[in-house]
Amino acid sequence: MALGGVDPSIVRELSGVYKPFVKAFKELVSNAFDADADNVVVDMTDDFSSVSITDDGEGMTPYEFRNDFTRIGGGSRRWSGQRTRKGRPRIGSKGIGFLAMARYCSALVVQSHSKTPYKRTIPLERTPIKLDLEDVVGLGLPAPLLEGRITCSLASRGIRSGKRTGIKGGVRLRAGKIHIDRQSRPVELEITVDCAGISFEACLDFDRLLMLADQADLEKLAEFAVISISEIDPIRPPGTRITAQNLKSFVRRELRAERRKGYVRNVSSRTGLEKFVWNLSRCTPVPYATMEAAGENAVAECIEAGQGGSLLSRLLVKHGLEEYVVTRPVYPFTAGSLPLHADLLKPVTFEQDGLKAKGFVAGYEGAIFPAEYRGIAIRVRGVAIGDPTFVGADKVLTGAQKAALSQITGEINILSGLDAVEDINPGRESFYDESEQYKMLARYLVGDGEQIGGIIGQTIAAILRRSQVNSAVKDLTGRASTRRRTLDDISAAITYMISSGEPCGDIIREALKTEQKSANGLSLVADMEIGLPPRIGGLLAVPRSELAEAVVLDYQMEQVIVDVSRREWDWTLLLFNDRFRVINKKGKSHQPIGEIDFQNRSILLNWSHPVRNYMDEASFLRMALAWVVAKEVTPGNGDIMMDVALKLLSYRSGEDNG
Amino acid sequence: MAEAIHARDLLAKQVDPSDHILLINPPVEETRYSWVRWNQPLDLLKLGQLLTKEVGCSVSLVDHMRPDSSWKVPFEFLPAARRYYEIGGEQYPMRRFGRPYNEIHEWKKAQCRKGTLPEPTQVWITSLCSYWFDAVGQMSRTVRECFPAARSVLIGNYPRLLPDHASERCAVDDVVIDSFANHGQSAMYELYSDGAPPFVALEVHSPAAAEELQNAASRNIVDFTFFDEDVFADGGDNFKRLLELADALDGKIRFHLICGVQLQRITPITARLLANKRVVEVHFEELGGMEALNTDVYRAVRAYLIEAGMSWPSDKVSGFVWIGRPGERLESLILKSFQVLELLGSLILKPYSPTPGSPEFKRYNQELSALPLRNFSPHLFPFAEINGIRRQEYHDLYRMSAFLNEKVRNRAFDFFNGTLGSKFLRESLRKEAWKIEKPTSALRIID
Repeated sequence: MALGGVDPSIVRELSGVYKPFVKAFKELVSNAFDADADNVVVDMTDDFSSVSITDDGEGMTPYEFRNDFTRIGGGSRRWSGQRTRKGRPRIGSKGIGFLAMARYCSALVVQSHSKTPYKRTIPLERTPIKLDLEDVVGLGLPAPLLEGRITCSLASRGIRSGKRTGIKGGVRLRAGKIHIDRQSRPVELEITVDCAGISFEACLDFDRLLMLADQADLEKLAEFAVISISEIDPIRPPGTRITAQNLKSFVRRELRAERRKGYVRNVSSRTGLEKFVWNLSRCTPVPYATMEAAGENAVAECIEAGQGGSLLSRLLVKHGLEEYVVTRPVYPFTAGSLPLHADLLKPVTFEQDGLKAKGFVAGYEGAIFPAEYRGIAIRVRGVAIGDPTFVGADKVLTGAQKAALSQITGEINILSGLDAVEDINPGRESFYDESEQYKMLARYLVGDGEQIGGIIGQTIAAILRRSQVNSAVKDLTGRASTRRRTLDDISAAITYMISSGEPCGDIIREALKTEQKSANGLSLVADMEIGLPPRIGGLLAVPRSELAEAVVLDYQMEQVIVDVSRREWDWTLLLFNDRFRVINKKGKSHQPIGEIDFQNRSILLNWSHPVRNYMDEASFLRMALAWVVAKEVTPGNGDIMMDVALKLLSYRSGEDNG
Repeated sequence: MAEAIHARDLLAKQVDPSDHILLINPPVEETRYSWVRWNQPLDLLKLGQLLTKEVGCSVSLVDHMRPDSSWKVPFEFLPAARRYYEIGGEQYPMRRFGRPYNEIHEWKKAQCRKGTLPEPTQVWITSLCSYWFDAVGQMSRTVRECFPAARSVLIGNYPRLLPDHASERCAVDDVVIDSFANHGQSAMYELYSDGAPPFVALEVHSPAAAEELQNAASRNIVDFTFFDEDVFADGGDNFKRLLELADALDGKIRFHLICGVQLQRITPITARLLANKRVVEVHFEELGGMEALNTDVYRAVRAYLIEAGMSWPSDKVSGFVWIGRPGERLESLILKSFQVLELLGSLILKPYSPTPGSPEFKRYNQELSALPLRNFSPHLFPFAEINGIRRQEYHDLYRMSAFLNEKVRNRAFDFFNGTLGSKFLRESLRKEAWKIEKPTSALRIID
């Protein structure tokens, strides 16, 4: 069988368009989709030496196989228009898909059958004439098969009107020849071959094809394919099975690669087969993975348009006992994905100059894993074009903004436009930068100024803002916890000294019984607020009580609600059996670091004391309390005071705040 | 200073049906605690029943020592300043066994969220050993912080044995200086409201034992132990009844005789009870004098057990040897250890500490009164100086028993099982054990 009309040197070039293997393989799935298949099964042999793909599409007649499938550019002739018979927007159009696998296997075996009759109309200028049947239909079928399957008729066209009028009789089929007896003006011969019940098996010998191509032997290129035809039950449903035989060793090696040892987060570290399935899910028209998961309804609404009927019902990959139903994963619906906050979800709705797109861009508070989810996937006809992208933002941004990209994912379905030959490269791996519609979409996503703007710019800003607020909240609650721990440590140390019967414990116990008011200077100065600031990370701080969470972030109301009834906000210090209130004061630098008012059961601390300049908040609190308590509970005994102070400074309960 | 109060007065005067009482089993700060998984606050569970049934108040429980489903009780080393406790030139690593004190705050938060229980009006903290007063003190402090309005009460052995110490040095309102009359009460396992504990402790001679066994079995609890001093004091009748009840209840029920099995009580009849497949471990108390064991009784017990059908040597049998008792000699301890190993196959050293107020305590009052209470922990060997045995030598005994112990060796140390080398090594250790070299390594406790 011949490969129609192409310079062999181009064959190798075209076969190299598809890489890696999965991108080549997806062309076979695209073919099945374009053949209106609903169910596609990919079956790999145990040793990955070959892989077959079976679909329940319309199948092919031997004529379609020869005239369309194996013909460069044949795909566009196979069906007229951009839609299949079922009305699907077709994925393939360039008619080079069959060459995609050429680099990855030795041969492609195609088995198919279809009920579609083969029709051809031949204009004849002169009659009578005797035509060779094989020349007319292009493929010689065995005579027993042809019997009763071929019908011929003549028609004439009006010279002016061009109207076609059937001519009765005048054509006979005999001994492989078509006889047209009638003498008349120019006529059209219409020949129809009923292909129901005809099955074929063809083998495309890629090794031979590429060898010939290397040698540029045009004459021998005709011999790269063998086709055999047989009869089957005509009621058998149509379909196609394509087997890629003798997968190249590098393909097999990749497919049987083991999962990387240890904790694995990224798809690139999974098994070769898992990677194959993942990549297949990105570049084939399959439905989204379970959309009801995780309650991400807002996301589901954004991508629902891409979930429409123009998809395969089921794509199954089988290898031994392993079976994978291929669905398109989206990060928000993935198990274990980070929670998506409303302010970080940016719905995409774009419509301008024939380009219509819908989807979402989502930012997260942490890095997205698997890393393969990062970026915006753009789907045309249900298939992602290339890998997820940041539309060049990753090349422009630096620092925290660039880091924020690892927290962004997205999915955009092109509903119309951006699908012409001048928009997408032949392997459907990327858009052409020159495409006007692509430029419009890019502007929408990243803006067109010096700074990154657009939807991605807004998402980055929202992520960084959250990060800033979270950091401020973490710092605030961390400081509150540390302060509380310090108070607990001082309290626990006093209890320890008393309960263990140490001499200083007895002194402390006695001293705590006093009700003497020893505070004077500090009680007169203003209080100092150490705790909740008016704003946290730019948001209004709102104190509340008895909340289920310690802190609630409300970005809609621009406020941080803090549960100040929790222990970490409590300034009570329990000294053995007595509760003291720690009051923070804005004293003068020459005033004491602290005083105890036994009468009112309060401890006053001078936060303006010069020592504070050399210590962080918790250290100052510990130090001030240790010395004040030690001084006040051990009056007149320097050695014991030192002993108590050092114990108070060094004691740790070793527990958090509960 | 807390008020000392009798148990009956507390119940009569301080508690009424409107009270909600939170019972707490506090954590323990110790250097080692091999039996930690068997710590169950049986006194609190019985007290809970008493308070509920006889007083009519509501009761909750926070058990800091509760093992998880894999029978593990969490522990943490104490912070740096208290990480080691030094005594007699030795440094003992200190750990807090059980859940942190602050877990009480978590409990309070959870209750607030659920809104099912009222805030406790009283919090009662129990205490198992007086020398664990540190943890009781810290627990009292945490309770004071967590429930400032609640009346806090200290119960258990610490205030009972050392009422003055407890009332002066614990931040509680009352210390109960005697025991509650809760003998015969069934334990209230419903107090484990967040799920059944992995085991239940019974008192074999309690009239409520059968009911408790049934009650626990209905909660799918299959492991049971006994806290009695003398399990077979009645000739084994009570234990036999429980075995028969277990047969009727659940095929999976297992009994762990971890204490109170006195060798002199073992007869052909009680031996048959021990050979029962439901009895999965038996640890015999020591029998004999300070210098040597009463080996005749040990031999007779072994014969009875074999006659009763127990395969020998048995994985489930072992014998205790006291260490740390006043007047003991290192040589006699080693001799007794080997006797137990030879007669029962497995050895467990049992450190001793005198109970405050006991005759032994009074006899050595002069020496003991000089010690800080913390040193009364049996793991710190309060009689070490009196006996003239260094703590390092006691530690060597632990190491020796860990290596020789059949049960431990079978699981961890038997590198040469069944070989001639194994036999020679064991014989060699038997001979050389009398000449323990001066240790050079730092003290390390083997659990």
